[in-house]
Amino acid sequence: MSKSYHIQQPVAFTQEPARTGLTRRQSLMWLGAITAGLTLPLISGCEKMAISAAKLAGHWPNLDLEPITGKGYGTDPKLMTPPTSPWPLTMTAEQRELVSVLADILIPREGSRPSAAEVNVTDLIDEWVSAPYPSFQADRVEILSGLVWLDEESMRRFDNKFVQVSPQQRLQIIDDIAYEQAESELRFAYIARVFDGIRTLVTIAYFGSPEGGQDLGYQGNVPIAGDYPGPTPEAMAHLDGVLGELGLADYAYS
Amino acid sequence: MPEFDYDVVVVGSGAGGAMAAYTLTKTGKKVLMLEAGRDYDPVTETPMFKTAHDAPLMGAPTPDKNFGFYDATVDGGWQVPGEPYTTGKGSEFKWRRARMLGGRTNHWGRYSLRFSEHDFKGYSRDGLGADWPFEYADIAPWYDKTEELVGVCGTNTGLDDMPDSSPGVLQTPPKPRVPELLVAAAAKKLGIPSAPMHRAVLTRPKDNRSACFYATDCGRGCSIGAAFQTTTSLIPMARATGNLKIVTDAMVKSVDVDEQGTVNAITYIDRKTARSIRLSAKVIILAASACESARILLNSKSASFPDGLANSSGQVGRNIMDSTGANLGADIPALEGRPIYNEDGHTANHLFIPWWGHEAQAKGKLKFSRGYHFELDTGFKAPGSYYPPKLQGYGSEIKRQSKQNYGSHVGLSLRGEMVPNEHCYMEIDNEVKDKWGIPVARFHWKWSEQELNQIAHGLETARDILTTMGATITDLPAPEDAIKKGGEIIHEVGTTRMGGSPQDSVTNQYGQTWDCNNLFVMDAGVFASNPHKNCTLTIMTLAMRNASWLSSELDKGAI
Repeated sequence: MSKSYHIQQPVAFTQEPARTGLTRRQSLMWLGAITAGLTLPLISGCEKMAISAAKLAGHWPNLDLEPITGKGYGTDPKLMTPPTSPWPLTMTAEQRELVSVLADILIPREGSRPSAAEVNVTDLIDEWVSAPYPSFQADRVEILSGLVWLDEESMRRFDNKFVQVSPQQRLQIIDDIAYEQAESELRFAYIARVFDGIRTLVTIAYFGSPEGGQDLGYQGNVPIAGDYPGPTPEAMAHLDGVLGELGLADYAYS
Repeated sequence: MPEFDYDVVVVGSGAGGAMAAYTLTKTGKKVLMLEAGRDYDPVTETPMFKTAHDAPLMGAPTPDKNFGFYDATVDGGWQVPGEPYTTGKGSEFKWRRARMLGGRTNHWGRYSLRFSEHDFKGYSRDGLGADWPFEYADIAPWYDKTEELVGVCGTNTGLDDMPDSSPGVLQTPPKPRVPELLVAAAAKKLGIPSAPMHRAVLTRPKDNRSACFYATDCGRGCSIGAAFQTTTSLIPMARATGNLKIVTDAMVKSVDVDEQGTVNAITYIDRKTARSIRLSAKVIILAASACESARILLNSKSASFPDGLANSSGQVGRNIMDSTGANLGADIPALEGRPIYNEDGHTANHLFIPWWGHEAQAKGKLKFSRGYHFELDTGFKAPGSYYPPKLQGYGSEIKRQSKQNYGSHVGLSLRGEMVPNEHCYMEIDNEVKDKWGIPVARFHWKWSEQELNQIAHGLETARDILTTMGATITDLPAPEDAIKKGGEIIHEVGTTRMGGSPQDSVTNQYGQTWDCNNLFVMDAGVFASNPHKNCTLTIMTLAMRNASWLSSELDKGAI
């Protein structure tokens, strides 16, 4: 018998993106089947206790960081020429190197498709953790702690830091934390959630780059002369198939 | 200020103020417009085609820009620097403001649905809230004129929740997209209709404005004028008459009266110099937004009006209503890996789900009295605003998962009508002043069973639609957790409501305050109820009708 606990999503993208939209996280929270919870065998108590237990079992580094107190880009930034460095970047060279290695494990170069680090995802992560806004500062603690965890885990296993060990050794660690079952194993439960947050951020940043956008296949953001053409014949044929499979063919919109 | 002999002072340049100014200047009246924010020109300031990649933090929302970096809002959002508001004990309320010419019309959703006779006569039907002091038939021609002027795309559906426009008024709507068509089929199986959304977006050129080219989120504003905002339409057109003068950075503090209690002046703070400036005024129209106009009235105290101006009914600041809101979404397996095409469209709903439950409500089958609609959140989104699902693993595996999931998410956003209640109101907080020395607004808020029951019904309906499409949804949030906070849908109305009698309303049907015949309100404050259909089209329609009436009264010498 087991009981399910939910650790609050620690990293990234908990804000409302637009007033008409749902956040991905909100929608996920409502999908119990997909929601990643922390399943702990019969530990009584609340979520807070579950988190403490997971942190303890996982050797979680409790970083005590100086708050970043700079200014944001303000309430009337120039939108036509967005600031390229809105605030000072704060990650050390060592942290940036580790993020780059991690980013390229997540999204490596594939043929002509560049890797995450090649499209400057490291800069985005640095900008993210250096942003002087409360929710980003909350993410900063989790992300930087996650980096420390990777180095300490690597030291425990291989007596060297994460970027110093072999690619195979790195993957031994990543394989333990990159899958859903890690979230139900006490010692990996917390890093698995932080890793998931970093993975989400890296993935969004990669697909947000010009090269990543092409890889994703996005077709929009181009002006169309005349009426909006609507779905392609191929897309409509696919929809017809879907309507058939779902027993909705008789209810097609007209 | 150079000599400019104005007939009317208009406070605000958004939907109500700009339409009032346009209507008055077109009939030869001289208008002085006071706008609290800075000058703003969408033609030179809109970041068309710019990508998330070019923006700080991939354009993610921050406390400085709540709706993301590229959102058009200037010096505003849920907070305006130096201009706080407060809430009463136990109340949560969010007040969205902008400080820019054109106000919130620069970034609104452009959804433009007419209210119906059913909407205007809620009180007569169910005894809740208040009726509007006119019939739909009185307003219908003004809806036609407004839709024509503004440019609204959509179709006449004949549905009871969507009154028809006169032939030729609406512009052709864009074709529906795949996920919308799937939602429509699933809804139809459940006996629920779908319809083309009506949107203030040109699909045909008009005046100096271009037709939509189906790219760039309208929330950034629209440099080509396709998506309606007053700064590319009503304001330039009113300026072209030579009868409009605009003063920006003019934060109105009070409307002033003489010893007899007659309105004769207005006082504002010049935000650039922090100086207080008093202007004489023959006629004043407040269109500063429902809550800002009510704040001005409540702060305009005098020996003649000790409880605030135009407040003999005690209704100024009462009856605030927002739309209800709640979201439910799911990934639809049948939409995974579908053929990609350009789904930007006009960047918002091509189809939506109008309220279908009038009959069930008439038969007493529902535990709430007022309707709602669903807006749809779907599509192959621009990189940066596409969020991958819960990923597993790393490397080519997470790319595959993301691509498979891309375009398969469907969200349903409920927008519903609330019933006004005694716990929802605003007043002046005498303990707190903004940086201009003006006492701030304090909000009080509490949803009633009406709204919670409506949200519960909406969540169940949304679940049924999504599961009919093949989604798996195991449990629903509680209505009290799912419902958005008061003010969060940004449809706050009702603070200076119109009515048939000076005892229980602030203005007559023309927005003329009962207490002062040369003082008008032409923003959403005058709404007697808040139908679920988004307020801006009706703000503009009433402003056009009421400014026309004011103009003819001035011609007659009646005011």
